[in-house]
Amino acid sequence: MRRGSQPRATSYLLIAVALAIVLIGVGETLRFSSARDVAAGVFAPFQAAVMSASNGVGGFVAMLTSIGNTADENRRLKQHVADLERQLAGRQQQDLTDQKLKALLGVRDSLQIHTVTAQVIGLDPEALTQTMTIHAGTSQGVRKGMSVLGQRGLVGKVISVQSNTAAVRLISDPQLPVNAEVATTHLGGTIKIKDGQLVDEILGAPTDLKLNQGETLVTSGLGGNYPKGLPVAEVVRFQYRPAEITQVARVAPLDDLMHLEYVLVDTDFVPEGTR
Amino acid sequence: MSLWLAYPVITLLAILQTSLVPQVSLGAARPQLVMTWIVCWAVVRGRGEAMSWAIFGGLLLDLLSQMPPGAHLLAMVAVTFLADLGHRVMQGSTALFALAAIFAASLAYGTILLVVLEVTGHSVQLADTVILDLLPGAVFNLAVLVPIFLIQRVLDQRFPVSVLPEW
Repeated sequence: MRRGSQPRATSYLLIAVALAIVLIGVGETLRFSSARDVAAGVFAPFQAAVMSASNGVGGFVAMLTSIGNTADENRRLKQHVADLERQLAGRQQQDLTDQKLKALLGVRDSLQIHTVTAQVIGLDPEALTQTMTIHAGTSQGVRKGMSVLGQRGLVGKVISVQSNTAAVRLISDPQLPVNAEVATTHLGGTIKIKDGQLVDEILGAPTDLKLNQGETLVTSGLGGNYPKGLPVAEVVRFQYRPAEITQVARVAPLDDLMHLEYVLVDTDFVPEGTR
Repeated sequence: MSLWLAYPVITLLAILQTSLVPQVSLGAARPQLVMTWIVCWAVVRGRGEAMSWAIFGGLLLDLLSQMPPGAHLLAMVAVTFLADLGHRVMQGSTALFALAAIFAASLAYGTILLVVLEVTGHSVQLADTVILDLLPGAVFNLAVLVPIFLIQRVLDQRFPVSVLPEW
C-alpha cells in the first residue's frame, strides 16, 4: 500500500466534515440557494434532455416486451413488425403527451386562470424531500409562492425560482400543509402528511359528519398561501371517531405526483409575503 | 491523471439521478448512482482515492437537491471513508465485500440524511422511511453495483497504482 493514503483520506474527511457542518449550520444564511440557482441553470438543459429521452426509452422498452411472442416468424417479418411497433410506440408516446397536455388545458379552462406550462425536468436525488424542478422560471413569469397544478389539481408550490427553472415543493412534503375544504360542504381542514400518509385534519367537525370516498377537497384560501377553489385531493377513507376532537380523513392527491411530466403554474396568484 | 475523467462521470450520474432515476423507481425506492459509484471505487481501490470524488459528488448533489445544504456532503464522505477503511482492513476487494459494503453504505447514507433532516427541524417519519425507502433502495443499489463494479475493476487494472509516494 502506498504511504500517505491514510493521512490523505483522514485529511479529506476532516475538511469535508467541517465544511458540511458549516453548510448545515449556516448554509442558508450564506446564500447557498444562490449557488443552487446557478447549478439549476447549468444542469437544466441536460436534465430536460435526459427526461425527454427517458420517456422515449420507456415506450421503446414497452414495445420490445410486446413483440416477445413473434419469435417463430422469419427475420424479415420480425424486422418489419419491430419497425412498425417502434413507430407505434413513438405515436403512442406522442398521443400520451398530447392527452396530458390537453388535460392540463382542461384544468386551466375549468379554473379560468392564467398559467404557464412547464416540463418537469428533475426530482430530488433522494426521495427524502418531496421536491421537483420544472423548466420554467422568471423569464416565463413564474414567481416564488405560485401554485403548481397537474392534470387534475394542485400538486405543489414554487419554493425558489431562477431565470429558466423553478423548484417546486410537492403537497406530499411534510413541510407543505394545505388549508382545504370539502368542495360540496365547504367544511375546512388541513391537508398534511401524518404517519407517512396524506390526510385531511378537520378541527371541530360536526357530529353528523360524513365524507364519501372520492369526495373532492379544494383549497380554502385561508392563510393566503393558495387561491381559493383549486382541487387538491380526494377522500380515500373516513371513519368518524366520536372521542376525537380532530377528525382525520385519509386522502390522496388527484395526480400521480411521482410521474408528472408537465405541470401548470398559476400565474394569477402570488401569496402576500412573497411578492 | 486519467482518473480525473471520473468527475464528468460523477456529474453525468448526478444528472441521471435527478432526471432518469425517478422514472424507474419502485415505489419510493431509488438507486443512488453517485453514492454507489464513489463507494464502489473506495472498495475497489482504497487508498483514499475516492475521498476527493466524495467531496465533489456530495457537493454536487447538495446543489441539485432541496435537502439542507451540506447533508449529502456529510453523508457521502462518511460512507466513503468507512468503505476505504474497509478496503484497508480487508486488504483488497472482492465482489462479496463490495455487495456488503454497498448495502451497509446505503443504509448509513440514508440514515445520515435523515439525521440531518431531523436536526435541521424537518419532520421525518423514521420507521416508514427506513422500511419503505432505505431498505428497498439499498437492494436497488446492489443491482446497480454489478455493472459499476465490473467497470471499476477494469479501470483499476487500466490505471494501476503509482509506485511513487504522494506525501
